[in-house]
Amino acid sequence: MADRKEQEALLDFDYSKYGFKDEDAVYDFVSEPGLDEEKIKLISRLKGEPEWMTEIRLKAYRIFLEKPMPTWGVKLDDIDFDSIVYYARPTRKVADSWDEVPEYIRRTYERLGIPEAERKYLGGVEAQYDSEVVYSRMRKELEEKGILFMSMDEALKRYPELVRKYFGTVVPPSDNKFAALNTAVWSGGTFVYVPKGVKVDIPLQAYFRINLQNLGQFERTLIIAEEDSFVHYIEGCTAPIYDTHTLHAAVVEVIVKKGAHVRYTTIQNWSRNVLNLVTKRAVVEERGFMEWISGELGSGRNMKYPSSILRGRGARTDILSMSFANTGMHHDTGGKVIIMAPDCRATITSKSISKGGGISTYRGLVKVLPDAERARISVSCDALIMDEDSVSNTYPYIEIEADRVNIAHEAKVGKIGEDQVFYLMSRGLTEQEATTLIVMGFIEPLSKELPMEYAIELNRLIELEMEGSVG
Amino acid sequence: MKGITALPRWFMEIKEEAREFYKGAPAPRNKYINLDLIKPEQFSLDAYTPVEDAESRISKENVSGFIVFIDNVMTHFRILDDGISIYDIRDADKNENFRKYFSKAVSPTSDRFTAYHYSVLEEAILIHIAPGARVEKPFHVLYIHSSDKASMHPHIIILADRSSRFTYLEEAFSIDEEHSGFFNPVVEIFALDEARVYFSSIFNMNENVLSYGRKRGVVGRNAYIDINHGWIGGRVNTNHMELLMDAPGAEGEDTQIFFGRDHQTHFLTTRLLHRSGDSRGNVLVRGALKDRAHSIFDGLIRIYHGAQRSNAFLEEHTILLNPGARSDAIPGLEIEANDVRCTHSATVGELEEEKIFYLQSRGVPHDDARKMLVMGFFEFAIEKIPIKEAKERLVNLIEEKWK
Repeated sequence: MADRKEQEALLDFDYSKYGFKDEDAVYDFVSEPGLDEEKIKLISRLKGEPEWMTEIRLKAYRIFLEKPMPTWGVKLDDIDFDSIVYYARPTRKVADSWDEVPEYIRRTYERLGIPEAERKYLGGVEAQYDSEVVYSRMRKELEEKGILFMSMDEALKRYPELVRKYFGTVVPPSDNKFAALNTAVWSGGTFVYVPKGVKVDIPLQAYFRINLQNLGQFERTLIIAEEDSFVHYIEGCTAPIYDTHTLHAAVVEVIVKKGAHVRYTTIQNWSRNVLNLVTKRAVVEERGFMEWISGELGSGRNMKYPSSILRGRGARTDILSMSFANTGMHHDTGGKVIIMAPDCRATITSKSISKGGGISTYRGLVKVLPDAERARISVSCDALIMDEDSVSNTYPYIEIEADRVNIAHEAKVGKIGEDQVFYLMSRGLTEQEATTLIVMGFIEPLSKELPMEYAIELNRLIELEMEGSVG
Repeated sequence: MKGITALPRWFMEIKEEAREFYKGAPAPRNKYINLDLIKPEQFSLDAYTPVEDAESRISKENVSGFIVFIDNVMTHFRILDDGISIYDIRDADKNENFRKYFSKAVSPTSDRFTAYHYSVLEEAILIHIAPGARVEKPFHVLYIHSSDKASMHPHIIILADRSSRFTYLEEAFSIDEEHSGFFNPVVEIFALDEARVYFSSIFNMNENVLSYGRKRGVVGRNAYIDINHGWIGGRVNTNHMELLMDAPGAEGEDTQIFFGRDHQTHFLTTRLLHRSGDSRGNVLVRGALKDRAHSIFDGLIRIYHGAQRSNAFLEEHTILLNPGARSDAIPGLEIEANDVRCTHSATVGELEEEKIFYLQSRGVPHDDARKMLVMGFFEFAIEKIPIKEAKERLVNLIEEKWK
């Protein structure tokens, strides 16, 4: 692993450049805007899918049409489903060497620092550009252990039985309108399979990039961790800045078997025109452990509630999230835990920052079913409001049907302590530096859980967001 | 009294508006309960069965005044302190405050059942505490449910004038354990500048009664309102309590306890609304549930834009005494100002085994130890009941719940 200085140099570029777009992008296929059954059949045919998958898609499309829009959370009523491009394929081939990736795409990922990071500290990388995965590679030693890490499309071709067995079992299309839409038009996403007893000691990363204007990105991720295995999966997201909305509606399904441990980390930095509406859920068996870690920095309107269903005795989950809502942004995020078996434990930690008129909302659910005796749950929500125009809301839902449980929820909302700022300024920091430093301390529970490279990146993004925060 | 003096025109207009709203409004609901099950028309507004010696339940030497309602009729009232005046809606034109304050804290179009309350209203009482009056003894109100299918809609306005001090206790109970009924009160409390109001309420109508109440306290400059509720009876028991901090220095306190058994449901909503900055609010709710009882707690702290330097705290704790009981809680925050301190916490748990064990080791039988712990859990609210006999009645009611 490179030393800290090197890391910093590596990441030392202007993050506002995330907003660039590739003017010279060439697409192999771009579907007409709007959606109907014919278009869905066409996507499925272009991908050469088995008939059962086409059926699943069509069935989900009908559910999508019937399901009402959510009436809570962020503003959704201006989504024009007819103007969205549901499928754009930049290339037919998934490369396993950056040299084979079309030049304009490679350039994009180089600017994002992905090939560099792969060489240094990742076990595998997958890169999705608009609808399709364009690059996927895993270290040989991991391959030899029987780990599968590839795009969902490739998994459907190579391991159709595995996909069929688990696809839609954690997030059924009937779950919500956007899960139904994803199931109907999904493309790309990651498939991870870790065999029994295998521990993947370096993270696997997927990087999602939207380039085309009006494109909807609908990746579908499925992670299966067999008994007593471990894997850490990281995803990162960026997009150029357009003046029209771009829809990102992903579905992530995670299966954590007996004694397995999955850590799922997201650094979301979509541009503000992206509507991020994702459904992420894990089912955790006996003694399994699911960790959801996310830093939500981008996206103008964001609805995301990673969920864990603890259905085996002694299962565990930690949900840790940080959300930064700056000017013009509305984040409605949180976590859900549903406990079905005895002796389970769950922790939800939410940190939110609202600034420049941004709105951040924590919305969470803790549900303990009658058989879930001796459940221990703790939920804590901390919110910082940087100025008088910003808003912070907290809506925790707590539903307890078992008697031998112990649940504690607490939430705090406030501003940065003036005494802290004063103290740091007396030590020679400017007000801006002092404020930024305090914010960094506030989100430390999250940044310390990230691999160092990501922690540095997160801190830099926060610094960027904090610019101009002091009058 | 009814029908002797005509009701004022503006009052009739408010009733009419409420009636229109009621016709079109759906019953309040959330994901845990749908109050569609309450059909107000099934109850009788005319039901009235006299109760002998109703007045004798008041210990007259210990109160500043009292009012007794039997079913939907005010049957007795008396003032025993010079600082207090009472006005009936029929006297409204004699007292300008009536029109100024009536329906100003609780809007007739707040929700379906509040609209129903206003639409059928024949009686409303304004209790006015004179400026600077310090009324030492508590004012006592009884709501007696006597008839089967009684529909009860008391409307109380407490106007605590500048720098006054007032203590109030209401008790609601049934004469017959089998009679059904609908209890649908509205309480409006105004604490003007520097006034202090201590309001206590014990609800113990029988387990065939449905209730839907709405109350709001408006807290003025440097004023204080203290609300205290004990929820014991009722089949489905709904209450919506709001404290509005309306001027700098306002302080609101809301404590509630509930005990549910059999198939009882307690649905308690509480709101701390900080419209003005430099204000304080505090909510503490504790409950215990046994058998198949269900509680729904919907708490919210709302700090309005610009209400800087508001401090607000909200806490809710539920103890589930056996499997089958169910507790749902939504302790929410909506904060639109940054220079504030707001916290909330909620817990759901069981009685601590260590404490039961400790009491057992001191010779207390297991069941008694559980009762003692629950009583201790509720003590903070019981202590606030201002009349000794009422306090004892509340303790007895809680003990009876174990049977």
